[in-house]
Amino acid sequence: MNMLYRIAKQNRIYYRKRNLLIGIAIFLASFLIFFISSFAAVFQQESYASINAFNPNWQGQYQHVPTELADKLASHPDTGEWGLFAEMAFTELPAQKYVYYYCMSDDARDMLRLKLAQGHMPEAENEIALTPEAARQLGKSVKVGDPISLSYQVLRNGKADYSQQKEFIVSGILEDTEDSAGQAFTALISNKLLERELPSGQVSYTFLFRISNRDISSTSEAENIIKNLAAEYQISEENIRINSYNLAANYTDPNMILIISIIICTVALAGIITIYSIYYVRIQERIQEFGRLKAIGMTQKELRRIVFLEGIESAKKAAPLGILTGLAAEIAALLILHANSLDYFQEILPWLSIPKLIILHIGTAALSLGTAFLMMYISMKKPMRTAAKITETEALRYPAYQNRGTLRKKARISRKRIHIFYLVRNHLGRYKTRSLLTILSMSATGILAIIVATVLSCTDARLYADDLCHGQYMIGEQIEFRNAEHPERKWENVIQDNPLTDDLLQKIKEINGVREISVFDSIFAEIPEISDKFEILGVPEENKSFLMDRITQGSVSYEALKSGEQVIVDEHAAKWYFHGSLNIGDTITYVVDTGNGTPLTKKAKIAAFGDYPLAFPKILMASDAFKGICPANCHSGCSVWGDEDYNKETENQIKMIIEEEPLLQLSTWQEYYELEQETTRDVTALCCIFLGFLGGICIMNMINTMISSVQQRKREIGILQAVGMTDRQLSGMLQLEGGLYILGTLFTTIACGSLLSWPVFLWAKDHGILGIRKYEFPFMAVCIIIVILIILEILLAAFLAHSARKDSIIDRIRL
Amino acid sequence: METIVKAEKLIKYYGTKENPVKAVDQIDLEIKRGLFTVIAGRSGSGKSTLLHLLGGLDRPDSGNVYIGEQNIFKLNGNDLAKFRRRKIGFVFQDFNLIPSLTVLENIILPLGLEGKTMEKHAAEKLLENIGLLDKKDMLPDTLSGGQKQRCAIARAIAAKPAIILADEPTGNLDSQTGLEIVTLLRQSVKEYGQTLVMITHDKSIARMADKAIVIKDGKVVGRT
Repeated sequence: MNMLYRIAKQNRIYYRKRNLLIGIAIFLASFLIFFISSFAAVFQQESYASINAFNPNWQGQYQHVPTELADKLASHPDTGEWGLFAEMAFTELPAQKYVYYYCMSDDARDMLRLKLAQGHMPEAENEIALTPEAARQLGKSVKVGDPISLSYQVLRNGKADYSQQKEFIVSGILEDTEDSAGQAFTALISNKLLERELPSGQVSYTFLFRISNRDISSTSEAENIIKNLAAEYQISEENIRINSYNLAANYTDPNMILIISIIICTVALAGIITIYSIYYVRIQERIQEFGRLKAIGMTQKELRRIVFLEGIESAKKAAPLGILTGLAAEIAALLILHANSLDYFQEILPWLSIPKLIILHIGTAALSLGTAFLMMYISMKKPMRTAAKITETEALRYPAYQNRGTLRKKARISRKRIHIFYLVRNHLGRYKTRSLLTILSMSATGILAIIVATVLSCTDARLYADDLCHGQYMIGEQIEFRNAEHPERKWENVIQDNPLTDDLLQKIKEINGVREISVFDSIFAEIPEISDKFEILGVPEENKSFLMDRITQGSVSYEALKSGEQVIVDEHAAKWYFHGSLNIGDTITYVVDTGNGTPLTKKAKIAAFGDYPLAFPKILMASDAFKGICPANCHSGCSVWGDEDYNKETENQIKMIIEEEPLLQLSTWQEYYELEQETTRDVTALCCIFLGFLGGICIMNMINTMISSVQQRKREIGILQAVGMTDRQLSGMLQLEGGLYILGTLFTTIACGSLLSWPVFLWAKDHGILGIRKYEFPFMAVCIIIVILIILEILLAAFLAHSARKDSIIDRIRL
Repeated sequence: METIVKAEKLIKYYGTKENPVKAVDQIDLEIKRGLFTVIAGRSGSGKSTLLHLLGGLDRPDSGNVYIGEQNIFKLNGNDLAKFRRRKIGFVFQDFNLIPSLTVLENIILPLGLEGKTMEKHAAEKLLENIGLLDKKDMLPDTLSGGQKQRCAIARAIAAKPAIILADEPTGNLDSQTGLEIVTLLRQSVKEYGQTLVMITHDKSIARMADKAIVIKDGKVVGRT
């Protein structure tokens, strides 16, 4: 056996406790990297299989395509499989549910996964095929061959015509794939009926297609092909739909790779700091040993190699063990996840590529192994250099028993009183680098935890619900402009006989459990930058704080808004609808048609930007500004504030009051809250697991530092005890020492975490991630971090005090 | 004369059951208050172990040590430590100073652990007595061996304990410095009315003692 290898091996055995810490850090890092990347890969493959098995498999969709253009698109080299369908009509059902009548080519049907369960597709003008759920929603129980009478509204040039009745024969029943909780249900009609109902010039088709087989590797590449093809034929952006699920299922998503890369880098960084810190301390302790080796003729290169071999030996066992444990954990997690969904799993199994999964696992194992060894190498680079630089004379200068830290001064003013705190401070001052490394390593996890916790606390279910429902109950009006069957829903008609009367509002106010109501006004206007009618919110003077308190840029008084010449724009809308082209001082031109036959063109200057709840329109004014535009009752919504978050009785009473008014709709804060709570809970659990493991790596660093601190000072502690330090004082000293690490860690964690989480919050808010709107400092997470660190410190200090006392005082003094 | 230290059937063995090393083997002894007692013997005779047992730094396999009326091994760890810092001062061969504390801080360390401090004039007098007044703010690494040992002596006597136990305090010093140290120790214990028990190989130092105990193979083989 090579002599260097033998020395490294023996050293590894001799310093086994310290190597165990490095091993644990490597184990946790490789476990985490393997588990996260392979679990994500399997989960993604499963999702892809599920998407390929059940979801529509079109990739691009162009709406409002005339027949001639469809032919051109079909013959384009970028177009693979393609299909066409036309939406001919719809039937409106209660609770805003609809059955849509489509005329569809076979290819389009295949791409939309509409499979026939019985009968045949409609061919004759009076034939129809529909899903069982569509039939159920229509209140019919049908079999193939049954006659069925349906009332529907034909869509002509995008507008819903008057309702008409028709007798059909059910030619086929589609597979039962629709969810009763959904909003839209499918019925298929024949081409003949389409031709009869709509002249060829009035039919607008939707063109569905898959990209022809080419060497595309990423989703962004596929998206570009879809967009470029549209641009080639002057198809406007609003008529393009991209099936991102299908793209993600078939191409690599660069965002996913980016997220996984960030996670791996974070884990690796935590590992590197920990291992480096352990090695840094260890080399300091072994100066004499390396000096002796050099004195007997070992070269710098050989010394470097010994340190390297020692490290690699630790990684050689720990990394594969971490990967195997990660594999076991992954299998366990998948078994738990699929325990109640075996049927689903069996259905997607044919779509799962087992060789691909094996290759992915080999890849993630190689990635974890490679990262673990790279971590070791990077961590050891400086310690290797330090070991190599040690001179022979240092072997004589440094006593083996103690590392003196940094005692550069020869003298300093003596303290008049010596106490435990002073001894601790004095000690930590001697080992500044090590102390700082420990604090930084521990803080790295803490900072990440604070950032994640901030994001999670900003996605607070309460805030999310607050954003979507202003008040505990929110009454709104169902406004529609393009439905000939329901002209009463046009705004200009609604305001003629607005159901939100003072009388109704008074009744709501008088409900037991209702504390307060806030009424808002709206006008609907056409804005050239936006294609559809846009709602402008009017805020009455009694609610002016709602308007003014949320201004984030610019300034304006409520009085100034009363004239209607100035408006406030929601800052998110400025990005989403106006693509960031709006600035304070710009003028918005809008056209309001109040139904009196003379549309009014108005101009308003943007006085400020604000941050308003999602539940509200995005251009805001004072209600008084509407008086000159629309003298009618412009009430559009009412926020109801209750004594408690939710009360079934209060909801029922509001429902009873508004049930006579079909235009009024009620939403509750509670329903949004419950929905978001469920999402937040799942995300929080995943984040906690990840941070737990990451924290484990960094805790290794603290354990190392504190063990080193006691090991190096065994003699010093022995002396202190010989001159009268009690066991209690020793425990107190170690507790205090750990306490200062914790204090430093907490300070760095909270200060840096809070500072760094702010831009992350702004980024998440700007990109609309998880519906984040309002900054919430994660107090609970900070408290949990504090408690965990304190418990850890108490346990560690107690263990170390016990370990320091294991040898007799005299054995320690003699070291 | 009053007995200040009394050892009864003191036993301390090292090694294994099959091959025990009898460091201290059934030792009975008494040390009188205010005397300078030397424990002599060859290397490995057990004299350091005996001294450590007398000071409560180590625990015996059996037997008792009384300091005054107190059986020190009846005390628990915390109480023994407190007892030690109040009643016993130690001086070691290799000084055992805390490198990060200054000379003065090392000296007042036992008092600091007791929650006390030393009056300025008392500290200055002590430093003057040991000849380190001008070195009080220096760190131990900058001192010579003799100066370090003076500092260690000052630390041992600072809390005015009843007994000073010195484990070959001149072992790392040249003969001249060694003599100076022993002289200083004698003067100090006389000034504060303390009892000095010292281990030494040096016959000239042993001759300066009031009493001598000779140890061989863990047993007392001679007393003068």
